[in-house]
Formats: sequence, C-alpha cells, structure tokens
Amino acid sequence: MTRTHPSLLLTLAAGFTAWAGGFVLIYGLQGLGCSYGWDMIALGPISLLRAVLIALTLVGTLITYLLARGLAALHRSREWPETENILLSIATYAAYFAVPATIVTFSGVFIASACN
Amino acid sequence: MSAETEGKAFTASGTPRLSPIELHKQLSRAWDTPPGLGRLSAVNHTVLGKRFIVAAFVFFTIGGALAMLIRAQLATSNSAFVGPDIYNQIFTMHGAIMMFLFAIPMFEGFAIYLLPKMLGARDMAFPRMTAYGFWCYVFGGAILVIALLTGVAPDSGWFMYTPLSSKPYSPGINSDVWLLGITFVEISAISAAIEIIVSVLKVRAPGMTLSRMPIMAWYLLIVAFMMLFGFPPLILASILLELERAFDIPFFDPTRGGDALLWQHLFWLFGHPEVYIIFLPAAGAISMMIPTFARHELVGYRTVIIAVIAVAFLSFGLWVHHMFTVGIPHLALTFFSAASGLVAIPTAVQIFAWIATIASGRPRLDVPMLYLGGFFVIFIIGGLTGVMVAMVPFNMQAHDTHFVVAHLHYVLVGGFVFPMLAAAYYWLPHITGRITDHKLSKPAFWLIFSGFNLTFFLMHLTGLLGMPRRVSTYPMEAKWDWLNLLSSFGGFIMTIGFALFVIDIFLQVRFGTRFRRNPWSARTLEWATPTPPPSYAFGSLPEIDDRADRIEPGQMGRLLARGDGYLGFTRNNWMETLGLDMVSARPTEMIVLPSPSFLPLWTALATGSFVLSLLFKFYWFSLVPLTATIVLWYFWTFSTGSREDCAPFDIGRGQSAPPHWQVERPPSWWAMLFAIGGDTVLLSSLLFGALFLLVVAPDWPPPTLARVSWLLLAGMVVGGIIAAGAARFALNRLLDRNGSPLAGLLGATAGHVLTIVCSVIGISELGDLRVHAQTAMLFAILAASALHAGIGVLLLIYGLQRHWAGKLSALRTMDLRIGNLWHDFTAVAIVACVIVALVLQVDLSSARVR
Repeated sequence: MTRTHPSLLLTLAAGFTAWAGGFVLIYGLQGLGCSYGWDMIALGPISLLRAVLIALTLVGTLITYLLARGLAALHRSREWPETENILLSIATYAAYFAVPATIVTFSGVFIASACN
Repeated sequence: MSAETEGKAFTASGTPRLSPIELHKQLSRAWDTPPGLGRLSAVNHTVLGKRFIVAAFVFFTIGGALAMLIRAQLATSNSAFVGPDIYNQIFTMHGAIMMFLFAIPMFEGFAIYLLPKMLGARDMAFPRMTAYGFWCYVFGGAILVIALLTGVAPDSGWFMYTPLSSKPYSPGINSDVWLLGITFVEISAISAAIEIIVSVLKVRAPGMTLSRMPIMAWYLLIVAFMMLFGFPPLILASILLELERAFDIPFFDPTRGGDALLWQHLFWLFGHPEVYIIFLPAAGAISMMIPTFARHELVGYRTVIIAVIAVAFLSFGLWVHHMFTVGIPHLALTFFSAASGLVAIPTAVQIFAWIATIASGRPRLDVPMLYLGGFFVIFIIGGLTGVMVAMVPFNMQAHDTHFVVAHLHYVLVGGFVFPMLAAAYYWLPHITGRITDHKLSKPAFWLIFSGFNLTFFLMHLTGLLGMPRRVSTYPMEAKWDWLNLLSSFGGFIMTIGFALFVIDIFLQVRFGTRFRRNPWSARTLEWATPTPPPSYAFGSLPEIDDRADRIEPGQMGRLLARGDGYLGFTRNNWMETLGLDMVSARPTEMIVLPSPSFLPLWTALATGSFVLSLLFKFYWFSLVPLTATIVLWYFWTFSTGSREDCAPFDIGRGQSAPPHWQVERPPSWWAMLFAIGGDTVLLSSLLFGALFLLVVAPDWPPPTLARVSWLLLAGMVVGGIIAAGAARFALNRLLDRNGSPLAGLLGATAGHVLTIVCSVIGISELGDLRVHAQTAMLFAILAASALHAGIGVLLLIYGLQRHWAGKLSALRTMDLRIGNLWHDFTAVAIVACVIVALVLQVDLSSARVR
C-alpha cells in the first residue's frame, strides 16, 4: 500500500488559509497606510492606499482561485484511493468557497472611506 | 469484522482465546480506577469525561443562580435588591462562569467521554493530561467561586475591558482573580484541544480512515484546532494585563504609549471564535442524533465538513464586529461586517443538511428530538439577529443594549444548551445503562422553552427601546418595567424547567429501567460498547471497512466483547490501544498508556499554588510551586519508555506493531507539533501587539527610545541556532549506530543558556520598564525569547535524564526528536522576536500622520 503523507491534510485548509493570509495583509496594510498618510497620496483618480488595497484584493482573489483550480487538477490527476479522493474533493470545494468569500470580505476596498 | 475467526479456540496469532468473561476480568484489572482515595488517581476517559460533565453542570447551576439574581434585580425599576458593586460582580461572574466554566468544559467532557468510543479506541492519547486538565479546571473554577463568596469576584464584565479592569479603576484583586483564574482554566482547554486533535488523527480503530469517521469526530477535530489557535491571544492578553496590574508595566495605558484597543483586539480574537467553539461541538452532537431519529444517514456528509471548515476560518475574521463603535475606519468595518454576514452561509448549510436528513428519513419524535426542535427555533432566531448586528448601522444603534443580550443568549442557549439537553437524554442510557420511565422530560422542555423565550425575546424589545447592558437599575420614567418584569417571570419559569430536568436525570440514573445496548437503534460505534461502558471501552478493537455511521453496534459489540478484534487480550497488565497512520488508518504502533496516577493531581495542586502565589502577590515565593510543577512533570516521565529495544508486538488478527516509543512520529511527537502551533499564535499575537502599538497607539514616539545592544540581539539568535544545530547533532549521533548524544545535548544547552543570558542582560539595559509601552514591549519580547530558551533547557535536561537512564537508542529516539521540534521552533521564534525588537527601536512613529 502506498503511504500518503499526512501533509495531504493541510490541503483541507488551503483555500481559507489564503483567505486568512489576505485578511491579515489587507487589514494590516489598511492600518499602516492610514497611520502614514498613504490615503493622502494621489495615484490618478484614487489614493495610493486604495490602489494598494485593491491590488491586494485582486491578487488575493486570484491566488485563492488558482489554489482551488490547482487542487481540482490534483484531484483529477489520477485515481486516488477512497480516503485521499474524499479529502481532496473536500479541499477543492472548500477552496472554491473561499473565492467568493475573499471577494465579498474585501469588496469594501472599492467604495468605503479608507481612514475615517 | 471478519467472521473467519469466529468459534475458534485460538486467535490468529496462535494464543489461546479467552472467554469474554475472563477477558473482561483481565482488562478490568489493567484498566479500572482503584477504589477509595484511589479514585483521585483516575486517568480513564470514561471516569474523567463524566467528572467534567458533572463539574460543568455544577458551575452551570451556580451561573444560573447568578442569572436569577440579575433578573430579580432588573424585575422592577429603581430596585434596591443589590447595590451596583455586587451587581457588577454578579453579571461578570455569570458571563465568565457560563463561558469558561460551563460551556467549554461541558463540551470537553462530552468529547473526552465519547470520542474514544466513537473512534473505536480504548482511551484518549494522553490520559494523564486529561486528568491534569480536569484538576486545573476544577481548581481554577474554585478560585473564581470562592472569590465570589468572599465578595472579591471580578467585576469588570466578562470581557475585562481596560482601563476599567486596570489598576487605577480596579485596585482590588477582583480583576486579578479573573486574569489568573481564567488563565489557569485555559490550561485545561489547551491541553484538551491538543489531546482531541492527536486522538482523532492518531488513535482510531484500524480501517477508520478520516473519510469514514463519524461526523462528530470531524466537528471535534476542527473545534480543537480553533481552540488551539483561538485561546492563545486571550492567554497573552491576560498575561500582559496582569503584568501591567502587578508591576505597572504599560501595555494598555494610553498615557504611556499603550492602547486599550489592544486588549479588545486580543480578547475578541479569542472571543468571537469562542462562540463557534461552543456551537460547533453541539452541532456535531446534533449531526449524530438527527440521523438516528430520522433513521437516515446524514445528508451531505462532505458538504457539512466543508461548511464546518468554512465556519472555523470565517469565525476568526469577525472579531471587530464587537468593536464597531470604537472608531475604527469604515473600510476596516466592511471587512468584518462582510465576514460576519458570510458566516451565516456555512452555518445555514449545516441546518439545511439536518432538515434534509429529517426529510429524507422516517423521523420519529422522541425526547432528544423535542429538545432539538427547541434548538432549531431558538438558534435560527439568534442567527437572524446575528445577521442584523453584523450590519454596521444597526449595530451602532443596538450596541451595548439588551438587544445584544437577547441575541447572544438566543445563539448560545439555542446553539449549545438545547443541543446539550438533547445530548444528555440521548447518551445518558449509554452512561447509565438505563432508560427513563418518567415523563418529566417533556414538561421540563416546555418550561425551559417557554421560559427562555419569555425571558429573552422581550429583551430584544427593551434593547430597541434603549435599555443599556450592565446597569444595575433603571428609572421608572423609562417605562421598561413591564417588559423587565415579564422577562424575570420567564427566567423563573425556565429555572423550574431546569430543576425538573435535574430531577428527571436523577430519577433515570437512580431508578431507570436497565436496558440492552443501543436503545435508540443508533448506527455509530459508541453504542457497540457494553452500557454502562467498562473502563477499557472495547474488549477488542474493531476493524472498520465502511463509514462509521453505518455500523450494526449490537452485532459488532458481541464480536468485540469476545475478543475477535485487535488487542483482544492483556499483556504485562499494560493499558494498550492502537496508533494509526493518519490517512490510511492502518496500525503503525501499539500505544501503551499510563496507569492511574496521583501525579496529575499533585501537579495541578502545585500549579494552583503557583497561581495563588501570584494572586496574593507572593512573587518570589511563587518560584517554589513553579519549580515543584516542573519537577512533578519530570516524575510523569519516569514510568514511560523502555531500557531495551523491543521486537514488534502481536496486536491480534495476525498483525504486529512496534511500541509507540520506537516509531518515528508517535502521538507525543504530534502533540509537541500542535503545541508549537498554539505557541506560534501566542508569540505572533505578542509581535502583532508590539507593531500595533507602534503604528496605532497614541503617545508615540516615547520621549527616549529604549535600546537593546545589537550584540545582545545577535547573541540571542546565535544561541538559538547553536541549540537547534547541536540538538540535531545529538539525534544524528544516536541514530548513527547508537552513538552518545551527550556532547550534542550539552552543546544545545549552552546555546539556549547563551540566549537566556543575552536576553536577561538586554532586559537589564532597558532601565525603568514602567516608562513607556515601547520599553514594555521590548521587555515582553526579550522575556518571551528567554522563556522559549528556558523551556528548551528543560527539554534538554529531560533528554539527558533519558540518556543516563538508558532509555535512548537508535530505535528509541522519540524523546530527542520531540525536543528537536522545540529547539528548531525556538530558533525561528527568536529570529522573529529580534526582528520586531529591532523595528521597535527605530523611530517610525514620528512619521505617522494620525
């Protein structure tokens, strides 16, 4: 019997770990940018702070989506034993669910006042 | 279970088969808890699970009595029943008891009692930790209750907001009781979390892969991870606030560079996941009960797991919704508001899965289902008001009013108490071996249900009318009297219902009719044990070849009782169970569990003495019980391990497995790994706190920046690297034909000592720690580095002791590998600490515009 490495279990948390990482980064940079006045630096029609936060939101969403696609590809890549098959399907769908969660959570970066 | 061995007089390995009675006697000799005072030495999960449940219910009764006092006080306007000082203690203790001393330990008790039986194991992975956790919980709870009886209970609200809980505004020991007592209890929670994780991942029946586990095991696994990552911020916050209160080292004082919001962030980073930590185990129990009464397996097993994973993560992104009114920018509020709304989706997925299960089956209404009906109604109302308060504009209107009190009680009582009442009726026949002939359960339900709604539904209205929380009285002109009077009336109806519940349980335990195994025709493994269960749970361990909620417990129970499974015999009077490969679930090791021992009790007493010493400000004396605690932990290890390499042991069914001390990754290795995971969160919270103050707190920069010499910081890093490298060298020497690890262990000790020395000198260079939060944070970071190195030294002393005791060999390297995990982590942690310490010494705050 081929032994599967326990790190397979980490895939269960992969999608939402990306969401959580994005959360920490975006919330942290929002606080940092407000403290150091990035919102007062214009970058075209928007502020530097908003530009950074929008970029991070888009990148975070893309990473989460690619992660979900990667897990789906891994899942389809071969005939997995029963357990691995179920774990990977759970991991894939959890990661797909993290994609809209990322978009919804950070959608405020497009509209809300950044530092007031 | 294979039938091929049925009826043979010999097992597959050739040893004579014992009769079920003889097997029971032999296993009981090995596993039973001694009578009399020996009961205090219990380490058995069945015994300790029941004790946790009973103790939690006792605290629930105390918390409930306090709730009655609250309702008596608020029944009418201008009440003089108790004064504001006493009232503050009453509502603070009501919240603290219900959250910390009832809800979490009650779920721990259920988990400890049920988990091994559901997983087809004989006990949890670390029975003595279970016992130690139990005693810490009881002693910590006792400290809080004694404080209440003597009038010095915490009185700053269950969330202990600074500056109200700080020394200038709470000069007595009331807040210290909370900070130290609750932290003491948290030891129990953290140890339970690690134990549950390792038990679920490693200690199951062979063949029970993760995808075959009963759904409750998934719930408990995920909740245990949430506890592991959710509790450390609270523990850190409590330590920092206690340091501020005891030694005036400012972390939360805004006049000296601290920030009261740091406390709120750390508290709610724990506090909001806590709600789901309480709800999800109850949801796990619901997911076990509904399929039984619907006579249909759970619909959407995988979908439910995905939903629970989503809830677990999202619940960590909500904490600021408790802080919507503190002045955080709108943009940040949108993150937390959105996440707060999002979490309703995976929660609803679970509810729809339960409804679908009922709809797909042939449901029958019995007492547990009646209580689950109450859960559905109340929890869904609580969930809907949860979405309301997740929205910032509504939250700002309802904040700190009785609307929030109503919401949180609908969520917690609906989401935990009603499912636990259902669970009590569902699993009590398992605990007692009896079923109830009495009909009190139904009037008890209707009294609790109607009383609850009368009490708390009306609080939505008083809240919307503007009645604030945490005030001891209100003026008649507010016209809230009739609503409050009805709420209080409902509270007393609910209490009568709980009294009937207690009487009903007593009647069942004492006079219930003895019943055969599995009265509900459930299809999960815990019902395959005899009822009441013997101390060893299973006469032999099953082989699982399908989902563990598709079992015929009666048939399997009989086969297991006659020893047809794994380990259907005794050996050396050892307490044995099996460890598995996490994914494939094939046996990888035979775990020998420790026998009953008074050591957990003595260790908890020593730990309790340490806490009391701090509480009564005997700081130098506190080193005595602290040392005693450490020494007693060393005593724990004397009975473990072996002085010689062993050949793999027969585990039955023609298979063999090595003992756990001879495998690469035994349960204790995983326990250390997960403990490091929790510690990473604690340390990250500290470093986050330092950067938070640097970026956000008022009164920065300090008048004079405190500095630590770069040479000392470099010394700390070098010490950490030496320790990790030398410890690896020691292990490699041992693996290399049983070479001596002595030089490596001594070198690693020298590395850690270097870190400690540099840290201590660095702290001494800081000067007066009370001047500013920058100095305070540098102190905390250096102290944390020294503490990690100090724990490393203790692990190295342990390694040396094992070496001199002859318990190390190329095959028996477990003790060193567990230590190496810590030494590697410490090296990384020190680097992180040093980086943040360097950042703190740069004047970044002068450039701030806000």
